[in-house]
Amino acid sequence: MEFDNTLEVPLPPAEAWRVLLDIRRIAACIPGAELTEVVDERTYKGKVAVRIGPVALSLVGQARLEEVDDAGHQAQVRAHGADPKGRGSTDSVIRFRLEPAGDATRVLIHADVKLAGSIAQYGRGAGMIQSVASQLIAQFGETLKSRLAESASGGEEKPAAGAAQPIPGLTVLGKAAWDSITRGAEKPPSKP
Amino acid sequence: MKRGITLNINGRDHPVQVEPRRTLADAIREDCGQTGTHTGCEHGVCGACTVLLEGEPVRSCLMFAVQADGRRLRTVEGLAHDGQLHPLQRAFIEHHGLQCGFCTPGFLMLAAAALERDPAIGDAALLEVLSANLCRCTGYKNIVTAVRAAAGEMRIKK
Amino acid sequence: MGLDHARGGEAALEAVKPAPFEYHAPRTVEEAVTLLAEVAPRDGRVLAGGQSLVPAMALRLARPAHLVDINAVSGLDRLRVEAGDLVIGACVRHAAFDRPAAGGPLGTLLAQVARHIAHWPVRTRGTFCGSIANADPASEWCLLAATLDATMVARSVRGARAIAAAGFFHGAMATALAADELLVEVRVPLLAADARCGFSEFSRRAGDFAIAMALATYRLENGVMTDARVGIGAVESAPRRVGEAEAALNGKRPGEDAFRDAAAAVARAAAPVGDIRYPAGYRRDVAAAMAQRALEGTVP
Repeated sequence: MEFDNTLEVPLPPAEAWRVLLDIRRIAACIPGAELTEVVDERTYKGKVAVRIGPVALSLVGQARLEEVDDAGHQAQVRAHGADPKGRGSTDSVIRFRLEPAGDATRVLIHADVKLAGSIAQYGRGAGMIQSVASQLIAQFGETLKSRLAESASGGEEKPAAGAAQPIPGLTVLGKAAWDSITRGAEKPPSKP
Repeated sequence: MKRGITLNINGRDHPVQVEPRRTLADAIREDCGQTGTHTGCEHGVCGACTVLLEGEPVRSCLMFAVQADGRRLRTVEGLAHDGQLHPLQRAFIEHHGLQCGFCTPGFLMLAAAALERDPAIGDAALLEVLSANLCRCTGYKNIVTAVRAAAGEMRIKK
Repeated sequence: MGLDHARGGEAALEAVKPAPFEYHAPRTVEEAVTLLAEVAPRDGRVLAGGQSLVPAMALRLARPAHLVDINAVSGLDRLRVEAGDLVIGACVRHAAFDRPAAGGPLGTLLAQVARHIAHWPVRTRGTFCGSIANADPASEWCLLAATLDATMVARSVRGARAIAAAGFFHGAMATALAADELLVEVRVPLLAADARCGFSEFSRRAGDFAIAMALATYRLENGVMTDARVGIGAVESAPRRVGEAEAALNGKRPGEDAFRDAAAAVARAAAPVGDIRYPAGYRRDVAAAMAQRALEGTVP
């Protein structure tokens, strides 16, 4: 099924583009996400945990950045993930496009998600899957905002918080990657 | 980790050892040996596992046995009395309310609960009640006829 | 004889027995919330009626490591009117509403709605509060709570808090409840003695999850409708009131014209998501039809 979401990033488009293409940084902001392997600069393996009520799923798979348009600030992510317990799998194509919104950036996301297996049957429709995706995106947005604010003020690490977290906190890889990014790299402009 | 519970089925106590995840349906069948209650879908849709818990119909596949510890259960084995078939059982036979018989215990217990509550139940209300359970063989018509017939008999007896 | 496929073999796709869990049966709310504080971070969940949770466990979609069974907790079976609200405790079953649970239009409305929830054997065990906490988009009680502005009372080791319906339903299966919070009761404001209500739901078979449903209430003042509330459920990821439909009713006389306008407003305002079974446009059409029927049901 196809659906749309938007996200606000408190950075100007060029900066936001850089941050959003930094897969390690992004993974660190998704509650319950873990990057396990960098296959090449566009392809990553990992897992993400999602929850639909009492059902806690871990989707293990791969995401690949495609059709990257640096000038137009748009790209596509093709992701495939499967539940190791055999309860289902997902194939998704997520297009995102950046547009300026004052000092900040609006990220327009269009997702085409295919679900297979028991989880597809359980999530009967009427927005159940979309709702989970929206929640993940909203939490991602909140976490990204607070990460950016913290690294701008040189703050302490805090684990990714949020309702959808069967695996709370950053993983070892995620944290190490985040530390190396924020310690040595250029800081984003400080925002109140 | 098993724990000891007692299931009172048709007036008789069955002390058994079950894991918490053991459903009531499985405990009735496997641990207590009362295999009249059937497991169809095992996720609460078909009603073949219907038993009476203190007179009210429940889907025994949606309860854990530990939740029925010390409670009064009635299953299809308890319908016949003193060697006599229950009016519902006789009606199902007479009106061909069963073919393979797999859904039958669930329908019998559901109907028994409905008719014990109100033998004068109206047609629309009876259909609503019976629509809770699934049958793959009969097409439902004879089930409804059988329950109607039994209701008539049970109303007279009351 | 072993029907327990569970040992070893994680990928047993045909497993229809729940995975192992630790079972707790507290006797008081204090015990229950203390347990929840301990086990919720380790995927512990509340077991009330079990009519939604146990099927998910049977299919092994849900595998909670702990279950806190609240059926034996004292004081959770309250069903009575207090200070203008109908107070519904956590262990009150759907079946309790078969007969009017309160005087006046609310009791009648609850009985009318309850008939649409699954089937009798499910209503014997399933609970009103469990349905609210579960927040299935197609839950009838969630629609009722959202439309009538119910208050949800939650308890945890941090104390009690009241959560208004407007901020309670976050999305499909998602609420404002923290993982270690127990919903102990829901308070539904009584309807005015002269309130009119209607409810309509459509599904392919009796007892199925609704494709769309609507709940409407209003009062009459000088022959025109006032205080209109129109809610839709099963259409979006959470139930909600449709302000545009309410605006189409307030100040008008009850009748076909106003009802049709309100239904059209629902059709415009609804944002259904299409899925493999029902395209968005179809759900939208059914939502409008349910709004119309619910309103028609308000006229005696």
